[in-house]
Amino acid sequence: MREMTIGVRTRRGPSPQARREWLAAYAFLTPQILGLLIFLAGPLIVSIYYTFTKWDLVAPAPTWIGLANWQHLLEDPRIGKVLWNTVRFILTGTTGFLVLSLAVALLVNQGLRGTAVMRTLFFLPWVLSQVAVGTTWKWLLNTRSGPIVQAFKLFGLRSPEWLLDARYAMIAIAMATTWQALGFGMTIYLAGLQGIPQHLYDAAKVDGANAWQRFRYVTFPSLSPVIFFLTVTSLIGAFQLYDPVVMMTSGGVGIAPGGPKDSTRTIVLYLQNQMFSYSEKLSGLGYAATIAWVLAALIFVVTLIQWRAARWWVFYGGEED
Amino acid sequence: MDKLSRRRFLRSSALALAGVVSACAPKPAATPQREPTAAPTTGAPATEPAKVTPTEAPELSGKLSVMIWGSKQDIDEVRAVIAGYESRFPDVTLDIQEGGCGVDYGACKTLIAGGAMPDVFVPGDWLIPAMSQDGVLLVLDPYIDRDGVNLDDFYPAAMISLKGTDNKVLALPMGYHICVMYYNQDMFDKAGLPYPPADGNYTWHDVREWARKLTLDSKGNDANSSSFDPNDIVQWGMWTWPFTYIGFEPIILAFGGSVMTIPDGKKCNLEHPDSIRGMQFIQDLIWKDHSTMTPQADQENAGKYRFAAGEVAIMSAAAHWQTNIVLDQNPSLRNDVAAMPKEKAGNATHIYVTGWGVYSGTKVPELAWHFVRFVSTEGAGIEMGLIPAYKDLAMSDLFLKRPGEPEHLKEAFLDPAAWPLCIPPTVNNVHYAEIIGPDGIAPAIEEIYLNEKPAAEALAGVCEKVDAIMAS
Repeated sequence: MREMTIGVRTRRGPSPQARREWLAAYAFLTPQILGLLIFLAGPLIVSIYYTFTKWDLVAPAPTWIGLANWQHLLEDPRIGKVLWNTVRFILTGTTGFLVLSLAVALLVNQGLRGTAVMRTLFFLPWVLSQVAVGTTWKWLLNTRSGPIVQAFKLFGLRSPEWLLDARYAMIAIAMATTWQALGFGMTIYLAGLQGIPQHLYDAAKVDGANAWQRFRYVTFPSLSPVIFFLTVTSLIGAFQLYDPVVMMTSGGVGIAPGGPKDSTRTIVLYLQNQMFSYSEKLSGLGYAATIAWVLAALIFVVTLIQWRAARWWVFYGGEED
Repeated sequence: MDKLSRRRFLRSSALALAGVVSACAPKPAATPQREPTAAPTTGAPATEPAKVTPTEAPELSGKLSVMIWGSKQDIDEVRAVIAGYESRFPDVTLDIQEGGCGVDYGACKTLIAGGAMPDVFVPGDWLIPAMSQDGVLLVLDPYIDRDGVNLDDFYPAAMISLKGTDNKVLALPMGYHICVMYYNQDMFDKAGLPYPPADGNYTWHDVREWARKLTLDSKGNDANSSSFDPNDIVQWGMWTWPFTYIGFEPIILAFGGSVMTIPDGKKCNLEHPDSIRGMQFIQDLIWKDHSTMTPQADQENAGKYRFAAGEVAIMSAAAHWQTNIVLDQNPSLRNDVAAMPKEKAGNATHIYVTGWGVYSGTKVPELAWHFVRFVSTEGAGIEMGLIPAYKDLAMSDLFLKRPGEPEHLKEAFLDPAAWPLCIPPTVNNVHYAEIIGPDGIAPAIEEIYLNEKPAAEALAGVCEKVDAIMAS
């Protein structure tokens, strides 16, 4: 009878000791959970609420306006422009970063003399703030005495007016961000390159593969998880581009916040402008929150597409074909 | 170590959560305007009976938060004035904060929403129309009337733009910037040119001639010479603000034009032939004469620093901050100032004002008013590189004979404040910022300054956009 009772107890639920352990675990987790609820989930939910309101932060409380912000978003002629500006940055900056940092990683992975110094030099800009990088590049690209412009002159070429010309301003920003992030990409690629077993290259050589074929059939597939990681993270970063744009093309009296002919106004800058810009009609916090949610959705969809597409080109070690 | 009981843990957690939630709870934002008491009781609730007048120092007490902004030098100068208040009224505790509210409305908004807005701050007149519309600033007229503050003690031009859309006073002036011409005396001497008359009795066409003669390439050719190389300029004849109304509006005003119609400011006037002529004049100075700094040269090193370094002969539409820059970077530079030149409409300049304002939601309006009144009048100082708006101070030796000040300070900075065309650009126009921004005239102005289109072509159709903004 006693044994039966014990048996029933066991089936009904955990023992008192197990309960105590659960309780202790939750007690230790509570601060984290509370932190997440208050500082993450709370603002997220509130920001969704704001998308249905109009608020300039001065009025005591937001005013409920239903779907008006979402409707305005669909009719806003600037949204297409700022999205296109962001895409232009992705095409130049993100692509440049992915390709050039791979090239640099391959270079410094050759075991040549001075490799350690080169790695350090390439990595150094990554530790700088984006504000410092933006300021430095603004000087490098200045049209009269900037070193880059002088380099063009040295070859008898006419340099573009990088930051004052709508055709080149975003390219200039892409150059600056690529320069800064190159060391980070290089480091991640290097970690991947150094994890590729040497015997794969040896086998490829034995099979008569040339350097390109070894890269195409050994290096690239082995690096694909790293490339995938960098593509996903750099695209998310590209969608959130803000600091370099402000530093390089939005500073100074009389210069519009979006650079020449609005050519560098990214979606995040536009979001900020809609809330705080001095020289525009402000739509308020509600519309800014709406843009933020559209941006979040966009990032989610793009990441999801990359995730789904990864099955076609990303190969993890130990997988069978 | 004692074991933490489950109950005790949960209680502590609940208390901590309650603390966090209450700390994060929103506080009331802008409150309705309040009326002053019959006589002020500083530092005490506004409804209590009056005990002292604001100047009866011994009984003043309370706590007041004040936000200031600017460069380190600006902050130091404002702090010196505030120190004067603190020593005079030691029972008033001041919480001095440095922040962006006053120069940037966005910074004020976040403070208001967070319930952390200071009682007193330093609004620039470019924010007054929007703040007036939103009711952010305490209306000071009842306090001014009650305490008999004489607004004639301030330069009238400095008061105009500190009034709201309903003509109520929303701040008392700390000081103002008025656009003037700075010039390098050595360069004028070397070129054999007379100095610009300090009272503004010269024309923009005179300036044009001087600027051409004062612009030199590395071989010493001036801009009139057929051998002059515009790609190798080492000394610029003139600088003016690129792209911004601060730079171009004093010129088009003198030519008879304007951004908005004068005096009502209700309609766009940029397509008026005189406005177009003024803008074309600027474009010609930069790109035809090559005598005025290009936006590209300004991007490389701003004109205000080049002037201090002795690379620019004339600074057009500069303000008193230029003196601070020269004193800081090159105190031996021989320079002086002249009032802005004239054209067919007469002499014209811009004035922009910085004031002391009280947040409408303050819990200590009397104390805030007392502070604002003191630092704007008897306690006023020379602050933020501004011309003092308080006449007694502006006309005193303390200002006029301050070491390092240009010789013709009075003629260039004080007298033009009475000109009919001494105009605060943003006065009573809540749309002004939008008008000059990318939805308004900015793209056209950009095309003119970058020489992409002649002024008439660039400005064609711009008024349709501006009038649409005004109608919105």
